[in-house]
Amino acid sequence: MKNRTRFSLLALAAIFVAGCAALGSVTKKIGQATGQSKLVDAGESMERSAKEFTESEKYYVGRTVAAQLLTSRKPSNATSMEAYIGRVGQTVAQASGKPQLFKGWHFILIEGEAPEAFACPGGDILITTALVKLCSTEDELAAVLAHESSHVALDHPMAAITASNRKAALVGIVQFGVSQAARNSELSNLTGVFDGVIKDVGTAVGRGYDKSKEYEADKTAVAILLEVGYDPRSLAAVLRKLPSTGSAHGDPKKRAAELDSLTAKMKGIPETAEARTKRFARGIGGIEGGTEPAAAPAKKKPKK
Amino acid sequence: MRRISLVLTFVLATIAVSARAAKQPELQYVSVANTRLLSKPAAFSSTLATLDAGEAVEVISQSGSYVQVKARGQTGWIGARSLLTERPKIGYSGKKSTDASAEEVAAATKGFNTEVEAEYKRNNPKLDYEQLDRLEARTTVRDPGKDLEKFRKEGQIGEFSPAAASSASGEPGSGAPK
Repeated sequence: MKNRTRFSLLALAAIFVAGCAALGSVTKKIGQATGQSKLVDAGESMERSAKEFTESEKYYVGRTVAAQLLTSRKPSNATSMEAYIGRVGQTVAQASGKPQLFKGWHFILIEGEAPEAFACPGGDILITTALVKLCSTEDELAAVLAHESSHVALDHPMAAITASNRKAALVGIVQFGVSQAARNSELSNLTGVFDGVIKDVGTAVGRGYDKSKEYEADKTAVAILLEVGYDPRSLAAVLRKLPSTGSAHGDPKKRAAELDSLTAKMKGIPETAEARTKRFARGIGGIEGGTEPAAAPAKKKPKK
Repeated sequence: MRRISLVLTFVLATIAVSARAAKQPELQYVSVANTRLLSKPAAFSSTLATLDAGEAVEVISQSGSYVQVKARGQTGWIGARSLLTERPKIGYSGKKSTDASAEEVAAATKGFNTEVEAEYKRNNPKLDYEQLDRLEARTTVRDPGKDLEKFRKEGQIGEFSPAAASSASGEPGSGAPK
């Protein structure tokens, strides 16, 4: 009898352990099937505690960061040029390790005298006409876009979120929507956390990353170019034309030298094809000739 | 005697369970809808299947930045950065991989979503989300597969370069899976 009790206890314990593991998803499934939000919430909060941001959350963070950048910058009117730049960008993004994103990759051309680019989480990438102008081949343009795509694919913008904001965001997500009554205050809490996250990410996207992240994005970009079939040496070529933005981000010339030693060891490097060079001249033609349509005084004032 | 057999049974059962656990395949999860299961560890290889967000895949091996996986009864490749090691949260489950339902996924996901964005917008009226919507719409490539293949062909990129025909073996990341 004693034995039987002991065995039953052991069996019960085993069942309990297995049951606990399955409980979260089972509760969730029941909740989904029956449409009872309370059950859904219970299942969710059990599962959410250890999770990172999802691709859709990154997209919503990135969108707001992009919207902020666009309050002081103007989108270019050169839409055919933007379409060409976009195709180059989409092509390299396919080899970024994250070909698909929640809403896809977007390469947005903006006006600007300074050669700048802004890679927002979720795939909105803003690039100035000045940076495009700095490129002399499609391969160089591809190199710039591969570097920016790498920041997104490597989650560099999201890594800028401080530990406290990250914790607040993830905890907030777990608690959010526990009941309909608490929903409004939870939404306002979560929006407050969102604001903190936007500040962290916005600062990083606007100012650029530390040296190690820039090097990481450079190396990833070289791998992307090589996989796609663009000349990987073109990244170093563009970097040499860039002004230094301070040693915190890594001196562009030093970064170029680093890449030289990397590409020097590579065999069978793709060369820039003539077909591409001609296409590049056509694609960004306006800029080269100094008759860039967007450079003309804009008649329409952007909607406020 | 009875006690011994019971203990033995339990020990054996424990061993059996842990042995099974050790042999269990490593699972990873698709991070975003429309993730393509590729035939080779190369960006422009053919698509075997289009996977849903949160879908579990069985890890077989790794080659560079690609992971070889088994999904929907097929063996193929996915970029390592498109996979999560932990099962993602609720909003992901059972949703179809179309653009319209991506919105539903976001809505079901109680994190940063359209609702939070709307609230944030209310507090920050200077942010022009409508303009961004237009910019995102005009920079969306509708049919990236076909469109980009034409673009690569025209630009003699990668497999379409004159050199590719003669020395296809030198191209990294495109080696056929063994």
